[in-house]
Amino acid sequence: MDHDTALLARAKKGDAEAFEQLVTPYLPMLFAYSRAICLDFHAAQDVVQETSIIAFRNLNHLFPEVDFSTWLRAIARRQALEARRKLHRFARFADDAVERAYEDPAPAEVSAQRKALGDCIRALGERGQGVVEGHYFHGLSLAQVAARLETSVTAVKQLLYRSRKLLEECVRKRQLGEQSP
Amino acid sequence: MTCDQAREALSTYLTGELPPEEVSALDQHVPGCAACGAELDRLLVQDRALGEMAGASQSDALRERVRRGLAGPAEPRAKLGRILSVAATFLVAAGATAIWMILPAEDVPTIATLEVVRGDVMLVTGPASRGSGVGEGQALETRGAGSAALLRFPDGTELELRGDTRIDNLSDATAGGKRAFLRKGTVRAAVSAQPAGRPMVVTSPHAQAKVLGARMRLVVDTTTRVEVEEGKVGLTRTADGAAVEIAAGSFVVAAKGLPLVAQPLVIAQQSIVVEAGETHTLAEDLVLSGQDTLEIRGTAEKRCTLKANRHRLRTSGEWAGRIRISYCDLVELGDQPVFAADKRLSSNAHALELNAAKDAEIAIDHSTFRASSSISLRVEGSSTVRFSDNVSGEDSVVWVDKAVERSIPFFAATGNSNGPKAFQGNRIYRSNVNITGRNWTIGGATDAESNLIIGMRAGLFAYGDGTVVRGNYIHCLMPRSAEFPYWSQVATFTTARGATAEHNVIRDGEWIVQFVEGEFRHNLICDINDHNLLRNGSTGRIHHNIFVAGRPDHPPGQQSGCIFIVYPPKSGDAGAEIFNNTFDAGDVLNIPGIEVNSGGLVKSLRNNVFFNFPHGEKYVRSGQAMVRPAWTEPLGDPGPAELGYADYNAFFSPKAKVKKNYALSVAGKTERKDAGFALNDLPRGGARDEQVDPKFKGPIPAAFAFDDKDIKSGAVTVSKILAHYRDLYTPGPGSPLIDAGDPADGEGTDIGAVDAGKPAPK
Repeated sequence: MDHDTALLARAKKGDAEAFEQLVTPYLPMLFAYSRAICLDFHAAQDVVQETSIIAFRNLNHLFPEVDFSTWLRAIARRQALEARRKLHRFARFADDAVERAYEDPAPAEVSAQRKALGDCIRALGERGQGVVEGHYFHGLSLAQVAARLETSVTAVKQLLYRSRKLLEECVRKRQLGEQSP
Repeated sequence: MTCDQAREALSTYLTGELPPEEVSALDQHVPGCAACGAELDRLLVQDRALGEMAGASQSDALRERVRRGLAGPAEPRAKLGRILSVAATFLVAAGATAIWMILPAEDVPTIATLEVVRGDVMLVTGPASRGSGVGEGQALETRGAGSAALLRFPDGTELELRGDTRIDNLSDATAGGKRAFLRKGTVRAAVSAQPAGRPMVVTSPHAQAKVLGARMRLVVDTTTRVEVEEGKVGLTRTADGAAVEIAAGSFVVAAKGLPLVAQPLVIAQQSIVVEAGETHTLAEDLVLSGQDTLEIRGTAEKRCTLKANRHRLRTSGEWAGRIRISYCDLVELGDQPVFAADKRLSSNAHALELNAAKDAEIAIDHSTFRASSSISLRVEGSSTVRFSDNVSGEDSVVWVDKAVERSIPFFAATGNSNGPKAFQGNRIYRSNVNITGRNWTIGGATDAESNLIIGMRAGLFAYGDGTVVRGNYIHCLMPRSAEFPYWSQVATFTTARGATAEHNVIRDGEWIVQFVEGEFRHNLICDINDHNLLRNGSTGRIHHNIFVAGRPDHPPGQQSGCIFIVYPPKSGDAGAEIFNNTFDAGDVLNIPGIEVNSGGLVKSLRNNVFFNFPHGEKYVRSGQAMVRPAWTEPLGDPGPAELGYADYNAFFSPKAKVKKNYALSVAGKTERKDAGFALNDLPRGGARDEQVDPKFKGPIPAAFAFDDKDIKSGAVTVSKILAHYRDLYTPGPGSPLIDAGDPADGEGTDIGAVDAGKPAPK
């Protein structure tokens, strides 16, 4: 019995601590996935918590053949859609694309990609880094980011767009082995 | 939407802050565009990576929340305190509105749905698990004056909680029917018809109410008060089992030692007097009917106070009494409205809601509405209104939203009273004034009578015939924030075709002025950032106004013509008259001066100055011109004959790349050849599109020259602002505008909004 299987067995018997250990590695993915659906940093935090509780209460419905990560994501999806409904966001054009982006469970190259991304964020310069980190890592609204940077929301939107493009190019180059950001 | 626009919009979409209209545009565009679909895929791969890094950076916090959530069911009583404290933290982080729900299990049926959540609302699990709405056994709590929740059961029964209110043990799953325990606070209940023998039972610490179908209000503090508006309610006192039936239009108070008897809800013929210096406290709505009177007789030296505790002052039925309130601080009068999940207004809680009939009198002066809500009047018969020198400050709780349909005016008045009605000298610092009745006087001839309306969704809308709007200062603020990431449908000023609007200062908004279809004259209109300085139908007389671009302090939206004639003439309309106005685009507005939609008509365009328009080659899809068809139309030569008369105008835009004066024409006339179509434009008899410096006295201001702070304090008045701008835009020495206006308007008429007041040297 591997470590996860043992934890799962304990969790199914109601051991919350075991479940906590089991679910912890998936929390960043669940947060990102939920945020991509409901488009709200704080609501995504709630969704992660809600998802964990539902999963814990329904562990007996988890069949052995189902991937734990996929199962968690299915629960999170339902909660995130509900959160999105409450936020009065109804556009669905991105839903399939979100699913595609999360199809791969976590390939081996992910950690290298993350490292490259971290380096590239630091290479963005103070303002670009401020926008990306402020919005993504600290959950600030664009207006709050704008206030911090003493600029307009429109400028922040443009800065975020440009930063996304720079990050994309930078990560691509680094993955090709080039050094320049 | 183009692909370039879509790509940038997708980046903002992923932040959750793209305005709904742009989201809709993406929804239309992306599914059918392979390139944008691929871009979305790339963005989401990056978004996942950033999101997971963000998740990893807060993994301890997420893990702690999971731990807390998992611990929940084992300690249900202790949980409320912890949830509340966490909620408080969340409120600080997220702003004013939050709901905190520990998550529902999926196998428990929902008994009701929370349709509305506003402010601090807690849904707290009971011992049982819950469904995705509100589950069996749950408790619901609203906390603080501004909080509200609306709970709807599948049969349509609604419970509305406001303020510090808590309901425990909600139930609908047992054979006995709906149950609720109202521990404290105020609940309005609209109970649909319940099955025979299964009434809804609402229990309080003092009594138990059984309801088969009714509209009622329950208030629980040291007693339990049950007011029944429709239907009937059976009430049993817990202490001794005494019972009473409460019919529609009556109420009962259940408490130890008080007789358990029903009393009429509306007390007939009351007269309430609050003498100078006194405080009057409301424990419930103050309801006037018949000829009831309320007099609050404060003085400048001895003000009165009305402590309303979120209760309201309202009338029942047709009221023909008298309300006189002077020098009074009205504290927490009324509450915020409640909206349903579909965004429609569910219920309102105006501070004053008065239905004045026959010869009722409403006189409110020198009073301050502190943390209070809105005023709604219906004024009929020969009833009179004088609302003067009052203040509704920035602490107002009048509901303002980025969407217009969810915003409530501070002061709304309807009805057909033929009595005198005045709204003067007031200071309104949140929301707007909306008056549809006839013959109101809004503002006046002196600065003391000016209304100052400044703030979010500030505006003045007067739709009644015979109304005069004079000497007011209206400044609409549109700050962007997390709560207001965008503003929609912001208009700031409207007057009806039978009304006169003059000597007002009107600033900012998306349509600063729209549909002024009577006399609109001698006003200053400033700070355009979106859409139009003025949007109108094909009627009205718009003259002697100064239109200035200004420098509003928020990002620009989509801008179009200074004046946009948007509708064709309606029956009886002869076209809009636009004369003797000065338009200063401040070298920042690459927009037309006059834009006319297809079929629209400007009856006369004369004696106007178009100044400092930095026109480029293009205006949206076609070439730019000062007087042109709508942006959707191409430019032709001659343009559409949508001008009845166009002459004696002046144009001067030295920084324009393209200088084209007219892309509209006058039927049967040739530009610059025929009187009535530019023959007498400056320089008189000049070439097409020729321009001449108007030589204003100046200096021409880049931004609005006065601070709201000084206007609020009274250091700067409306007359001072108008005098300042009129001085700047007066024709200076040697100005070609002097005496160059249409002689049909009188010899010595100048071109522009301000006449130099003297004949040109011969």
